[in-house]
Amino acid sequence: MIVILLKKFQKRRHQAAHGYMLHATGKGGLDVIFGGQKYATFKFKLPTTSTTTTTQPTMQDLLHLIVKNLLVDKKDRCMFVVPVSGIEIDNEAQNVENGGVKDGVKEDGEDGDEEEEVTVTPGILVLVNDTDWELEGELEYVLEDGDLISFTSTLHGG
Amino acid sequence: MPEPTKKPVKVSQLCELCHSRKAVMKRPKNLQKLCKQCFFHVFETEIHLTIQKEQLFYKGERVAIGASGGKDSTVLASILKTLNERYNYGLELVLLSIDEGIVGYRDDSLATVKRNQKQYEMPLEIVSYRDLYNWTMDEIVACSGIKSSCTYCGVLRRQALDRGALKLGIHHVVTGHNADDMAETVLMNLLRGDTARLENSVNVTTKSSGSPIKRSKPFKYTYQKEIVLYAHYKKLDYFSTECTYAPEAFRGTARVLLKNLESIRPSCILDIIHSGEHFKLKERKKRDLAKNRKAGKGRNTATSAAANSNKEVEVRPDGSVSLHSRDGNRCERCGYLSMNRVCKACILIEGLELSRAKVAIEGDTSVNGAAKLTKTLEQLSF
Ligand SMILES: [Zn+2]
Ligand SMILES: [Zn+2]
Repeated sequence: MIVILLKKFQKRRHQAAHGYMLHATGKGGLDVIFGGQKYATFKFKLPTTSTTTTTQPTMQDLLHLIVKNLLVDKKDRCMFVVPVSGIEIDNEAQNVENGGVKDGVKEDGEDGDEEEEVTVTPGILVLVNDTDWELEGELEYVLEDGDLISFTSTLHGG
Repeated sequence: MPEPTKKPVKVSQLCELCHSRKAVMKRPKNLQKLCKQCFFHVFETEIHLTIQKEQLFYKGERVAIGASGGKDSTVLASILKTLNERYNYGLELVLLSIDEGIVGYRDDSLATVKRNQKQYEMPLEIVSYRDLYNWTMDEIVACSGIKSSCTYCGVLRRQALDRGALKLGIHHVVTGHNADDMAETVLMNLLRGDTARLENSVNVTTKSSGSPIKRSKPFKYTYQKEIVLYAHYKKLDYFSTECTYAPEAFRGTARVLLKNLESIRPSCILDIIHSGEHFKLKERKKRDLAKNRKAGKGRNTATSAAANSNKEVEVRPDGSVSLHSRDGNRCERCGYLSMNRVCKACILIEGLELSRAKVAIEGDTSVNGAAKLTKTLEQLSF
């Protein structure tokens, strides 16, 4: 199980360039998911995909961010379906210390590289503030300050 | 963790049953959107109806819950306690756990079961592979390789549950197998052409003739997703780590296929079970079946020999071969009730003992004369 808490933050100089702080926690069998870390805080600017008209970051953006920056090991990514061409893994993310705050806002997806759809593996239950994400628009869900998002495997372990 | 922020609720987000609270989940079965309270009610009632319709229990029955500490069996224990009190089943419930001997996995999950024992106020009995078979799963895997671990574990666990129940004087074991598991079983039997098992693989209650233990699956029609949600919303204390030993590649692939199908058409899980329920095999000559069986399982020498020695042979739904004249017989090796001369568990263990002896010889670098001779003799005796 991965739990992610979103907290909005604003850069002092550019009021428009807001970002989100991600508090990620791994529980149970999936705690290997962040390269062995159980808890990590990341500070990122969530990029918005070109396909959505809204400027608000969506669940799709969050999944991109997780796959791109949080899951350092290939086998950790079994919870997510990544397009065939794949997403390059940011090596910097591996150096984040346990529980440390990763600083510096990332400016991903701004130099025109195409964002492909990342989704969740069938059998992974996604809850947005304790509500089934199927009721919240799934990938189109617009992220909000204070959102609590969890990924739980319903696959075996019964 | 802070509480999630409250947002205004739109009418379209309301529960489709009570129309007053915000829906939190969508049922895979019928795509109905429900609030937490209505979900609990519907979930519990459906299982009660299954229990009633199938007449699973009788009043005053002592029932053992196969408890692994995982979500399915934890929800099963919780819900049977709830329903037993609500509908006055009059059941005496006992938790029955198997210690397979998997370091790191089973230790933690048994700790969960021990907490459940207190939470649900039920007696707990733990039987271990080590005590029953003198082998732990870790040793079995070290000896036979990781590939067949689930096959071994499945056979050994089945018998371990039976023996644990008998030890307690209980003749009914309930397990947390859910609709997804049942669909997987049907699919696997279909993919393997295992028609003998196909016909009865989806029964709520199974009982091999001659066996004193009845087995039931009250979650037969319950989706895995709903079990996980129920455990989550009820804040049940369960252990979520998966077994160290992953399923064999073929089963794993079938499972992924099923999950992919379910994501496109959620009702397919129940549809597969429905198909399974209606498979009826054409009547075949009993001897033909035995012959096929023999050809397919040539390595199973004990079974083949037994089949040869008796002409009245019937193939059971669980794949074993039975001899009518020997019905209710006991295993030659362990004395446990078995249709065959030697029970399945003993056949597996025998194979393991063989390879353990081999490993011991191969691993022996200091070839001491006397010791070598003893070991060679040991190997010969098998
Ligand atoms: Zn409701
Ligand atoms: Zn035996």
